[in-house]
Amino acid sequence: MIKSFKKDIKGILIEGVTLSAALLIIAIVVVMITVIVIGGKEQISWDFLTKFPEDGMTKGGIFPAIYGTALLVIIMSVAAVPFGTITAIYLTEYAKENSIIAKTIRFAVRTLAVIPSIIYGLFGLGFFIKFVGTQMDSTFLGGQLKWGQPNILWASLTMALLTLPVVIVSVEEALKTVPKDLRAASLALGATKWQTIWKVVIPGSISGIMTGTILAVSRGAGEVAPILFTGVAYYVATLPASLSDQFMVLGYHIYVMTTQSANVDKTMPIQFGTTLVLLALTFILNISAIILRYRIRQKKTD
Amino acid sequence: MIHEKIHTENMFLHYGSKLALNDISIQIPEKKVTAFIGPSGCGKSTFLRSLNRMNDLIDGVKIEGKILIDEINIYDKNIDVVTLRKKVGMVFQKSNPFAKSIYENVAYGPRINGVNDRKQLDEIVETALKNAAIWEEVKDRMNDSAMGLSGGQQQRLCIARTLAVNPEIVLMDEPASALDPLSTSKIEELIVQLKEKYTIVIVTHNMQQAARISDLTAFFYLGELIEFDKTKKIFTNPEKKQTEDYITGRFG
Amino acid sequence: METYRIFDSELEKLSQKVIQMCSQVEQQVNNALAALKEYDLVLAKKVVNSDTEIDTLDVKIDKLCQKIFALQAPVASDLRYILSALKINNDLERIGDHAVNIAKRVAPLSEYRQLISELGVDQVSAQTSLLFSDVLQLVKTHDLKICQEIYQRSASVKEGCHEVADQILNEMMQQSEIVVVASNILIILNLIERIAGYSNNIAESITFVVDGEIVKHRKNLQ
Repeated sequence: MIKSFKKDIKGILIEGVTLSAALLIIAIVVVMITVIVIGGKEQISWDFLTKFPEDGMTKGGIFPAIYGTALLVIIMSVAAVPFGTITAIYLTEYAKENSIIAKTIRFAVRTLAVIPSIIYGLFGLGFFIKFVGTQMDSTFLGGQLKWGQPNILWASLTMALLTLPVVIVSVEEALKTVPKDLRAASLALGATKWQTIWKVVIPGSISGIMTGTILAVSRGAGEVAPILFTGVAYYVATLPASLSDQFMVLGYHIYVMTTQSANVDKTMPIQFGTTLVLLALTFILNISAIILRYRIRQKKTD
Repeated sequence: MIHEKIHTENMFLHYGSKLALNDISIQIPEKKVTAFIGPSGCGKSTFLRSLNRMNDLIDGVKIEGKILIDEINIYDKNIDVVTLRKKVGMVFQKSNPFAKSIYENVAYGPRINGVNDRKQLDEIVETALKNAAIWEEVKDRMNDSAMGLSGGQQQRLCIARTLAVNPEIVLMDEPASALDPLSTSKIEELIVQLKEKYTIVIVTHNMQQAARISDLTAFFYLGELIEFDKTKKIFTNPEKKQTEDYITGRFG
Repeated sequence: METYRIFDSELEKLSQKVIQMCSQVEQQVNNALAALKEYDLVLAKKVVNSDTEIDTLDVKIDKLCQKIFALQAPVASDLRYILSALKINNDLERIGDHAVNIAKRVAPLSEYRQLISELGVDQVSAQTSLLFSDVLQLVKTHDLKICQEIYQRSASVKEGCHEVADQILNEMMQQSEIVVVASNILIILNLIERIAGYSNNIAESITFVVDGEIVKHRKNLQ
């Protein structure tokens, strides 16, 4: 019954080490966020959010970068969400659990998820721009250069490829939360397989599909590498008006200001401001994904 | 003479390499309650699911022999499974209402069959809920979520949902096994009422339930139909020793 | 496949009690008949006093059946056995009462022992004893072969009773002074006949336990 002093010391030590590691994480997050918020909060204003950069990015706003980021994630979602959802539906509803085709698809999805993002950029350049774009130009425009160069379409599609695994996996998870019993009930009522999927499975997993979409968007909004060669611009004076235009993006804008600017010190406040905006954006997206997911779990336990 | 609604002849069911049902020949009469009893894994649920081809959903199931409903072999190549399932409805062990309103749950079947006229739907829904003896409990909250109902109410809603498609046969797979005694007795009463209009086949682990509500009882063991007779006969003086041992609880 | 059931020990208990009841009733019947034959008033008194034991056992068996019905929801052969146990118990209890009634009527017969013997009451008594030992055997073994013997014996007991009764009626017409005692004997014969009847019922109940077939009233229903 008497406590061993030795054991006590060991216990305290272990607890101390693990706790310090955990506290360090918190410290890093707190420091990072504090620095960004303190550095950037002065910058945030209506003008900053709605104006173009001025004076070699040392003044003015970041509107084209916000606009470009939004446009990028929208086009990307339009491409990735239906494609990913359809794939997930095939995997959960049609493919036999252990069939070769299902295993192959799952392997491909996992592989896509671990490919470094810069390689997506190179793939986009090679496939979309050099192959598809150039082919389109020579076929439809008689060789006139329009699609065979970086633009927002190719950048969005490249980004869509990158986020596809996220969408597929989360939609698949969402579809799986719809109980087998419900499918059986629907089929037993004389519904066809497609009617069952359309009227029972998808409505039952819609919030899961939304979560997948938001996660994909938040991933896409923060990534820079895939669009580096495929469409993002250092600076464009006008907002992209067509799919074949180049565009600016928050993440790349920060990179450009930090590394390419003639006067890095002068762009510093804007860098902080932009970082804060980007951080807030991804933060909000992730929070909404978490809330949605929480609501699904709640529903499941009901 | 009583019409044979369901009729199987030398029916075998293989699940992969395992023989799950061995030479089942049975004649189930119209507008009666027929109960399937037997220990877990005896094949009674599998057999039930063969009657509306729900086994089609499971990989590796192979069926030989004849299963006739109204003298038509339901495993013929030209049989449309969707039409079959409208005729042969099913109620499951766990109540499984859709995450929709009470109204939409019952209207689901008619809707997928192309009924969209609101007045017609209203009528079908009301009749089905009345037939399932739950109308009085839900008529004032038709647009509430079905998930808010109690377990017993949910199960009666599921029965109403099945009835809304206007089936001729209702298969029930342990419909009251997850319910409290009061809800169970409501479901049992309901089943007895339903046999006026429908042919009911029910799988149950509760032998007293089979004794209370069924007209005929089939005892399955190790994939075989051991004995099929009037319920009264099975529970007072069964022919086969295995049946006797099972219903008196002498089974391992 | 066979497994032990808690239920089985209850059934075993019930079976033991029914057999016990049956052998005690047999004892009573034999004692009553012996008292009648030997004009043994002490034995007759003993029969009357022993009836409370049978009544106690009767109530115990009823309660046990009630408990099994309520708690075990018996079906099939179990159900048939417990239903029959109730009926057999009832029949045995009536037989016990009849034995007591016979014993009670021994005393007034003192002066006419000779007459009783001449009329052949003793033979009927002996038949009844044999009949009842068959009944006890059947209750113990559930061997349906014994049933036929019971039906035959009980028929001959009944027949014997009728014959003796006819003779007594004749005697009564000739000697009016024996009317009182003769009526007493007639009542005893009637009780013996009913014991034979109850023995038949018991044989039918055991047939129902074993075969599940209801054989009583078969003649009437056909």
